[in-house]
Amino acid sequence: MPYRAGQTHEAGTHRVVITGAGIITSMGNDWRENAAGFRAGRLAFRDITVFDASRQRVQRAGEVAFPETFPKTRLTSRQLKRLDRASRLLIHAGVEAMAQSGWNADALADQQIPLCLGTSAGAMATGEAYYLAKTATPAAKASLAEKVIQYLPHTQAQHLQSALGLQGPLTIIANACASGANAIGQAFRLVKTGRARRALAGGYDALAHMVFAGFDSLQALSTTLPRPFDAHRDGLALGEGAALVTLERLDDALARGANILAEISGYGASTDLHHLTQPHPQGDAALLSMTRASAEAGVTPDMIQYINSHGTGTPLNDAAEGAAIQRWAGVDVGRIMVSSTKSAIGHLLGGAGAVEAVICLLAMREGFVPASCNIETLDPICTFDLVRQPREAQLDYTLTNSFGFGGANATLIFRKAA
Amino acid sequence: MSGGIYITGWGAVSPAGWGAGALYEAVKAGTPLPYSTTKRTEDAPEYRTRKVPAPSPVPDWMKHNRMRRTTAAARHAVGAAIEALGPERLASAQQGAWKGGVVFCTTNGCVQFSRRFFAEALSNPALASPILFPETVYNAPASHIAALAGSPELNCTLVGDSSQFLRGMDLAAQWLEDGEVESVLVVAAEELDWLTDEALLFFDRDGITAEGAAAVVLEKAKGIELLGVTGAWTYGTTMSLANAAAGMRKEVAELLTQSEVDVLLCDGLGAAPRADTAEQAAWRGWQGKQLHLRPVLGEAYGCIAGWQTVAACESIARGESSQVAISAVGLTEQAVGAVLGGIA
Repeated sequence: MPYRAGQTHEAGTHRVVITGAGIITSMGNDWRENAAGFRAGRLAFRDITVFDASRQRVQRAGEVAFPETFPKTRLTSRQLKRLDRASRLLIHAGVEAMAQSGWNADALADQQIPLCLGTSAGAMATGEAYYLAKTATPAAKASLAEKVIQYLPHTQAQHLQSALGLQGPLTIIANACASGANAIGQAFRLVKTGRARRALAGGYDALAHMVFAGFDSLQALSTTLPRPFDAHRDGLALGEGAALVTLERLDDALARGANILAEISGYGASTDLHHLTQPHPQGDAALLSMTRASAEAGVTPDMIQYINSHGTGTPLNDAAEGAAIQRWAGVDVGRIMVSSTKSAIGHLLGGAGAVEAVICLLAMREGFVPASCNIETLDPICTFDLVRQPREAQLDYTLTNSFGFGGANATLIFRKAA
Repeated sequence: MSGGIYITGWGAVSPAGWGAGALYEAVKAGTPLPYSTTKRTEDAPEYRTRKVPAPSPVPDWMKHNRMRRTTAAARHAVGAAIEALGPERLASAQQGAWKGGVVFCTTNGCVQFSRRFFAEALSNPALASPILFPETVYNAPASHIAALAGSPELNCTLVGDSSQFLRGMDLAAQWLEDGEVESVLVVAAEELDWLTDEALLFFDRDGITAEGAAAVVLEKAKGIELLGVTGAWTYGTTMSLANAAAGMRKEVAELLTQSEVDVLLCDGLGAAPRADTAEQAAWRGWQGKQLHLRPVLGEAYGCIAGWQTVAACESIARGESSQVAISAVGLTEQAVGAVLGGIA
C-alpha cells in the first residue's frame, strides 16, 4: 500500500508474527542442521573453494556445502541453469521458509506480497566474472548481457519470487552488514502498520573474491579463529548464507492455525556518524538502536534473556558493542546472556542480520543458547554473561544486533509465541 | 495546511552542471547535451558518455575529511543533498539540529572504486588498497551524507533499477507518516565507469551513459505536495513489462486531481528500446505536456527518476506547472509513478 495523500495509516495496529523460517549457512542447509550444529557448539569453517584464495593472507571461511539435490521450485530448467551462488542460497532458505509457513503460493497468487531483502554484495561473483571477461577480451559479447542482468541484486530477488511462485514489490536494502536486519525490520513495519497483510523478508550474501580481498586488505580477517569478545581477538572470519522469514499479522496466523515461531516485537535503527568503518568507541549509535527497539517492543533490558550480538571479533567493534550493551542494560547487564554466532559460521555481511535473527528463533524454539566459541581470555568489556559453551535455556525474549560499514545499525527483538 | 507530505527542497548534479536550475534549463531546451566518445582499448567497443563538469569554485564540503577519498557518486550525492537542504537547514544540520533520515538509491553504486579495488586485488592482494575498499560498498554515499548532515537517524540504501528513486520517496513518506523522523532526504546517484558504460551497449547500441545525482527533502511542512506514489509494478515471470507500465499509468491517473490537459508528464522515455515500447504504449493518448529527460541528459540508471522529480519540482516552483506526473519504467525490475501537486 504505497503513499497517497489523505490516506493515513494507524501505527502500531497489528501484532506481527513469524510463521516460517529458512536458513542455510556453513553450519548446515536447513533449520534442523543449524540447530544441531549451534547446540553442539560446532565450528563450520573450511578451505575456500569458490575462488582462488591462495594469495590472500587467509584461506578459510564459512563456505556453504550445498546438498546434492536442489529444492523443488517453480523455476524452469533454463532458469535453474542461470542461477548464481547467491540466488541458490536465497532459494534454499526461501523454500524452507515457505514450507514451514504453510503459505500456499497458489492460494496467494492474487496477492501482492512484499519481498524485502538485505544484501551487501548481491551476486558479486557474477560481476567479477563480467569484469574478467571484459578485461581479457574487451570485445567479448557472448553471454555478457546475461551476466550484467544476473549481477543486479533485484534479479536474485526476482529469481526467488519465481522459484516460490510469489509476486509483489521488491525492496533491496544494501546497508552493509545491517542489511538483513533492516530488511526484516522494514517488512515488520509494513505489516504492523497495515500497509501489507504479509511479507517475506531476509538477507543473503555469497562468498566473493572482491569482498574477501577487501576485508583482507583491511587486515580485518583473523589468521587463526574468530574470537568475538576475547581479549586477544584479532579479527573476523567471513562466511556466506541466507535466511528468510514469513511475516504476517498475529490474528491472521491464529485464524488459519499457523505454527507461530515468534513475534517480532521491536525494531530499531540508527546511524553511527563516527567513521565509515569504525563504530563510536562508546557505542552511541548502537545504544540508540537498542533503545529504540526495546521502546517499541515495550520491554526493559531485564526482560531480554539473550542477545545475539553483532560481535565480529574485531577489536573496535566488540569494544563498542560491549560498551553499548553495558550502557543499555545498566544494572541488569550481568544477567543477560550474550554470544556471537559469527564465531562458528563467520560474518555473513548482508546476510548476517537475517541469519542471526533466525538463529534467535531456533534458540527460542529449541530451548538453548548458542555459544561464542574460541574464547580463551575474556575481554573486560564483558560485564554481561558471555556464553562460552552452548547451554540449555527457555527464552521468552531475545534481541539481535547488526552493525555495518557506513554506520548502519539495526536491532530486532523477538518474543516467544504464547 | 493538511497533514500531507511535501517536498521542501531539491537539488541536482548532472551533465548540465551543478544545480537543479541548470538541469531544468537544459531539459526544457530539449537539445541533447554534448557527449564524449571513448574507446578503452583498441579492440574494445566505443562508448559515449556525458560527464558532470567540475564544480567551480570547489565547494567547501569537498574538503571535509569524509569526502577526500570518495568516489564520484558520493560527491554527486552530497552535492545534490546539500543543495536540497539549502543553506539554512544545512547550517542547522551542522550544529546537530537536523534530525532527518536519509534514503539513498542507486543501481550501480560506487563502481569506479569497486573496479579499481578488484583489479588491485587480482594483481597483488598484499598491495590492494584498504582505502578504496570501504568506499565500494553501496551505502558509502549515504553514510557520507548522514555524516555531513550530522544526523544519527534512519539511513537506508535501496538498490534497484531506474525507478528506485520513487520507491525511495515512498519509503520516506512511510517514515514521516509513522513519525520515525521529521524530515527525510531522498538521494540518488551514479557515476561513469567503463564497466557500466560498455554494459549499456548490450541493451542499447545508441545509448549514452550519464552520471550525477538528484535529491529532495520531504517533510510535513509547506512545499510542493506529494500527492502520491504508485505501487511498485514488478515485472518478471508473473507480469509482463507492458502490463507493469499500464498498471502504473492507471494508478497515476487516479492520483491526478486536475485534468491531464493541465498536467505535465516528466517521462522516462529514451531508455533502452524494450522499456521505451512499454512506456510509450502506456502513455499513448496523453493530452498534457511532456518533458523528456533521457534524450538530453543520457542514461544515468538509478539517478534518472530523481532527475525527473527535480525537473518536476522546478517546473512547479517556477509556476510553469501546477501538477506533474512522473513515469519511471525501470529497465529490469519495475514500473513506478508519482504525482506532485502545487505549492502549499
